[in-house]
Amino acid sequence: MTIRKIDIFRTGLRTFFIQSLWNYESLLAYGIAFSILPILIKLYSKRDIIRKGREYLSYFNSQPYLAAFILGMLIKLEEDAVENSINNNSKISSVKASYMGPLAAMGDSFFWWCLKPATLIITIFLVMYFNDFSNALFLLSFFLIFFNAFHLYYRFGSISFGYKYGEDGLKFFQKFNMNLFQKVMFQITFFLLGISITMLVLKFPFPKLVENIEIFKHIEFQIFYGISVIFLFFIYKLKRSPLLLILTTLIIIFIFSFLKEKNLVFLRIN
Amino acid sequence: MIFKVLLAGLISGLFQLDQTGAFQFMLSRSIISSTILGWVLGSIIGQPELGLRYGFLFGIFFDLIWLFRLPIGASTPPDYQIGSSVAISSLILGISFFNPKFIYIYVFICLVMGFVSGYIGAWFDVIIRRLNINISRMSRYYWNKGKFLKFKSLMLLGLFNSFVKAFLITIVFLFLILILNPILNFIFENIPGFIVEGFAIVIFFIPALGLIVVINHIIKESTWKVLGLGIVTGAIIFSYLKDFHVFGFLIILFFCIIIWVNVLKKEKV
Repeated sequence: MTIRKIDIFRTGLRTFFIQSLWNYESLLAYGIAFSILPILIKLYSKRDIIRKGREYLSYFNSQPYLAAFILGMLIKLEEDAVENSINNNSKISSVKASYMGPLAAMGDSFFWWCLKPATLIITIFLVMYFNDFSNALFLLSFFLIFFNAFHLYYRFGSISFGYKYGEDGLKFFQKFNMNLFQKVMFQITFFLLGISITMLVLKFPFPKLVENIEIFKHIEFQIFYGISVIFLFFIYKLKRSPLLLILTTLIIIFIFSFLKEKNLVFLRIN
Repeated sequence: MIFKVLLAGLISGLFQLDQTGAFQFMLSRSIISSTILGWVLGSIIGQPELGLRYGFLFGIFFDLIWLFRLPIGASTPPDYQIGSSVAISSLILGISFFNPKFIYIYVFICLVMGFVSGYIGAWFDVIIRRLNINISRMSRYYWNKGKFLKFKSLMLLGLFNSFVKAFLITIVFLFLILILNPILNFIFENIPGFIVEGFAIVIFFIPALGLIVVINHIIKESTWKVLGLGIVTGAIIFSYLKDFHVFGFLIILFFCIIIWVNVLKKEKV
């Protein structure tokens, strides 16, 4: 019984549910077993699949997108085992154990620490810059398309490479220079963050949400706002607590209200 | 009203599925889920643009403030999707109960409610992960019996738990705000007028807080320069080119390309 491309694709689709039964005991193991089950049903008898449970239902943790690469290798191992009539149980455990850690580190740093924040910042910048909410949903789709282009490329590309080349399939991760991409994205993200902060102070992108926006366009308010943002930055640097940030904002609101009420010289915005 | 609350809970629950249980297409990110939820609920009350704008505003806040609290391994970060869904639903569905002059205080209250619900979501996550241990043991039992259809069905039960979590938390908070609105109204009426007016600046701070958190988390010595370049470029663009959207955008794009080339050059060296 040979594995066809459509079987690999189906397994790839099943990896979308890899975290459905995430738990503290076995983490992603049940997701892996769920994904590979149709392949096992194709290759083995019911009794053999039950025996395979020991390998597939034991602890497994990795990055959910790149775990597909390990799945590809496991499919290849299973196919070879059936063709050559050998017992591959120890090999399955060793492949899982040796690849899950490095792939988790690679995936976490690329997807969660670089791509997600960078794409978010770029999208937020675009919506704020064009400031036209009739296009907001269209601009938000940029985020989904850009992120998922990488997501789907790695999910389906890695399962197919893992199956085709086995352990040599790691060259798939050299096809695209993740490291260089991360460096570029990091720099561009910071550049756009700088522009976004300036935009908030000098050209507030949500004018329709504030009544009498004109009074907030005075230079006195912009200075007050700018100083407050810098102050909040250092408050957060001091103790990384979002709650403290919200409480400090509340205090700033009270200070602003009193300054405005007293109509102080440096805050003539009435 | 009950229909609207249930609809908000349903949409929140569906977005929650994307967060960890299935797909992970990032539809659950706050800027997406909260904007869409705000737009849908806003359309129902006849103010789609209001929903869209506030949805996006809350989306920025909740997405960025917990962006680097990652669910890696056993850690359970606050639930940004539930937080933003609760905040935007409470605002859109509760707005009609308050005098329009109190809107900014109410925005702040909704923000705090969303913040609290995010932590409650994380607490429920721990419970669900423990519950999943029992479900996985049942799954193993069925695997060992060779009943693979039941094994697959139990995977869906894990998804159902995630849905129920977001659905319940969202509707509980929405009912809470609807029940508490007379008390909130009474409190708002007794706040001095100048403070009520002063709350308008909360709109300015919501996106700024998110950006502050992000910069704080990822700033490095090497990136201060680029951040400074962004601030200076922004200052020039927004001071002199107020109406030149496309021209300003082209300048920004030009700088992005220079940054890119610069990184490539450094790599080659």
